Amino acid sequence: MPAISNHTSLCKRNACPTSPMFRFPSHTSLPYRHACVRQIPLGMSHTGFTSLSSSKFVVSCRSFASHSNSKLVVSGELEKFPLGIPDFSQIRQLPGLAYFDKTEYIAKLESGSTTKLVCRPEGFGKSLTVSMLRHFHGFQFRHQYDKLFKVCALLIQVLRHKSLMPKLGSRCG
Amino acid sequence: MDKAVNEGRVQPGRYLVLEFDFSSVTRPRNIDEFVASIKKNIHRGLLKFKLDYAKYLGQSFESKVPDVDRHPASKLEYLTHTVDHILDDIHRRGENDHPLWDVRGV
Repeated sequence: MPAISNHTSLCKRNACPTSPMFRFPSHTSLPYRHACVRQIPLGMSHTGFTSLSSSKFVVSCRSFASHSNSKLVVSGELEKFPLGIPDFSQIRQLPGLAYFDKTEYIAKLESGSTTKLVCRPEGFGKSLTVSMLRHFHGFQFRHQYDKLFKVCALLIQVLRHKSLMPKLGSRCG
Repeated sequence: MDKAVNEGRVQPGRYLVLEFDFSSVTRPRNIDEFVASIKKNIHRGLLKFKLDYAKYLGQSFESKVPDVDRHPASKLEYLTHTVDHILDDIHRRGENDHPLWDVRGV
């Protein structure tokens, strides 16, 4: 997979809602994935959100790209990015797994053409996005909506409300 | 996401999802083997749909749609038509307390 040299080329190539490219924080031992663009301002909070999620604590942050609606979401202490695990439900419920939350694209996908084609190489999150859409639209998952989807948005709202996002962003960004 | 849901632009759980994953299809040189692999994959998706939703769609659905079919493409068409008829019947009978009342389709 060829490396992408700058942010502009990333924007052109990443027009569809697939995983944005990123560099892992330096304190993790995880390898680089795809291409380096800019370090993500990672917001962290270790207390105060247990009522919103069954996990011990939650790390959340805004995506680096202003044009993107993706958010980096981690349940529990960051352990790894679940590469090769395309099950949205599993990622949301197991602690320590991070993923780029694309739930805000669900409403966008409702408009436009009825058939969508996403062409991206392996590892860009196509299967995970399909799994996320399945868990949102699937009748059998309607009772899991609050557990799987609502928590993400609530956490972001709480972080914004408590003005934690800017502080945490500057700490890690 | 919640904003879109609250505004009614999109609602969760309104579809019966029929999913095919063709990434597992083998690509042999022999066309017959390739067709068989595609058929097997379609059949697997249809079977999963039946397992997921038969309990909601009722016994008529289960009896009308066979588990094994030599022509999965025609079975796909038959399955979607059967589901449409069942959903139409629910509305025709006015069963607004039926769990599938607000389901839009496949």
